[in-house]
Amino acid sequence: MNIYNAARGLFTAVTMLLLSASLCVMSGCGDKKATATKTIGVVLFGDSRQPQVDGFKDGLSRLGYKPDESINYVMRNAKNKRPELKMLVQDLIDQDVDLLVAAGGLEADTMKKMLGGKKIPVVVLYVNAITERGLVQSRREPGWEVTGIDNLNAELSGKRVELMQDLLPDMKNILILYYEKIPPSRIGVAKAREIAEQSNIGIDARAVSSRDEIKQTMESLEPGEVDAMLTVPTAPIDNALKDVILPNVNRLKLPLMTHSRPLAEKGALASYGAHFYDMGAQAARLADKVLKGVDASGIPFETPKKVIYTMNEEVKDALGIQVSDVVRIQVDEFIKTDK
Amino acid sequence: MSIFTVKSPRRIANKIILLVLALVLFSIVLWGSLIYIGSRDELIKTKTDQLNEIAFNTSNEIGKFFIPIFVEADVIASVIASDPDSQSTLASRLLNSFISNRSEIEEASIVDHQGQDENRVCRMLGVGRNEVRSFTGDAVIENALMGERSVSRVIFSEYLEPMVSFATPVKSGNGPGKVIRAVINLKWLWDAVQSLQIEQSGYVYIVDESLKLVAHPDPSL
Repeated sequence: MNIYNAARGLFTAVTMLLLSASLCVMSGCGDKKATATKTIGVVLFGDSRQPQVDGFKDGLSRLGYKPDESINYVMRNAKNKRPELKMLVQDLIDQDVDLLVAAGGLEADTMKKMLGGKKIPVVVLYVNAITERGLVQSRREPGWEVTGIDNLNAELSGKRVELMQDLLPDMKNILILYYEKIPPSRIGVAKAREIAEQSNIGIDARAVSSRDEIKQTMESLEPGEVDAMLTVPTAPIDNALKDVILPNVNRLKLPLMTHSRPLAEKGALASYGAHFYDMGAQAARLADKVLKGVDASGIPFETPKKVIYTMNEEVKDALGIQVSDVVRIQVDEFIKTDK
Repeated sequence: MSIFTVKSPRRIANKIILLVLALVLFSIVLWGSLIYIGSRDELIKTKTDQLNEIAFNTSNEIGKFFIPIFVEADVIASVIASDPDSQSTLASRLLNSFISNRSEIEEASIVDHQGQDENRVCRMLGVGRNEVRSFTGDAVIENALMGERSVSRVIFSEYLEPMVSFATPVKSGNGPGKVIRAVINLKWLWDAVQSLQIEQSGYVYIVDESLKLVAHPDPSL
């Protein structure tokens, strides 16, 4: 009798266990990836990174992710303060988010340092010189769980020289300021020089290392010393554009080609580079793969799908530049200075 | 430059596979699809005839990707045929327009009968005015100079992105021949691949005619 009761009890227990297990499988419990809301920690160094973050969020929405339902964003903005950046990244690591999103290269570099060996995948929305800056070991084997969009901003410097030639057929030499210690700055000069040499154009590359040196170099320029100026991706030079560089290129009536649309909005003649919003949207596809379980280190960094040639029409007219039919086809958009 | 070969991992066996096949037929790349339950190896072994048949189907996303590019290249070739000066403003406008209209085109050029670039536009790379590039020995260019559209095998760029080049003959009837050459970035196909939902457990492959992997949602395969 006791044996019978024990057997009946065991049968009931096993049946209940199997039933529970079946219900659990049917409802997806135990499969965290299938049911859990994903948490994405997004870090911005400053407000200027917002366009790519907007593109990223819109991109994920288009892929079916719903904020506060299938996905939670934890946004952190360092407001251009480096010490803050480290603390914010650490905070997200401590929260054990499912995915870290770096809005730019500085954020990505910080994440790599702060993560140590901890395995949280990272998607970078906008970065350049990924091997030269040490973000990855190589494109094929990054060495940690990271993927993203390489904007190729420095590499595009050669193309910018070609576009300048089409726009300014009489141009003989181009001024470039650069920072020796910043990899995209160095690469930009090398790429520009490569194309200029094949076109009999001189590159007057001048190394600077501070805002004062940028100011000194620009203020010492004499009329006719150079025919045009090109910027290479260098944050301290970008930051000096409005107050230091533009007043001097205006004084000398120098056409200024840049690498970023916001610089053309501020008053440079033109820009040729990836669009921030589009790159964020492009990166959303990579994030989707990572959230679905693909190892980020197995997804190569992508190059931008779109590169935009922007021309500031007011500056063009002020410089008296005539746009040929070929240039008109090359230009994607004509804009006015953002006042 | 290297080509990734397709692995057949155990984890995809017995799942639904959509295989997209490319064949060079009638001087044009045609693409097709087949839904099949089983492993990739079994599929290739048992369904080769069907795979060949579906190559005639151009109504899928992959066909829609390629056909407009080839048509536009044909239009450019016919206009160039009537303007013998490949370095003219008209030629430059056409090449720039080709690149501007189609983000998937990385590079477009006019190549002369000796296999040298006469006019070239790249999206990412600058082109020096004095730069001369030769395609001597390039089968794609040589086939096109013989009058046939030709498409290269898939190659991977230094940024690990899959590309094909193709060349379209310029049939002028006067003087030595030329070709329109373009490089297509197949990264854009990745989006097309992702948009194809094959139930929850389905996988999509894009392979070239020798069954080498071109694109897959999981690049680690």
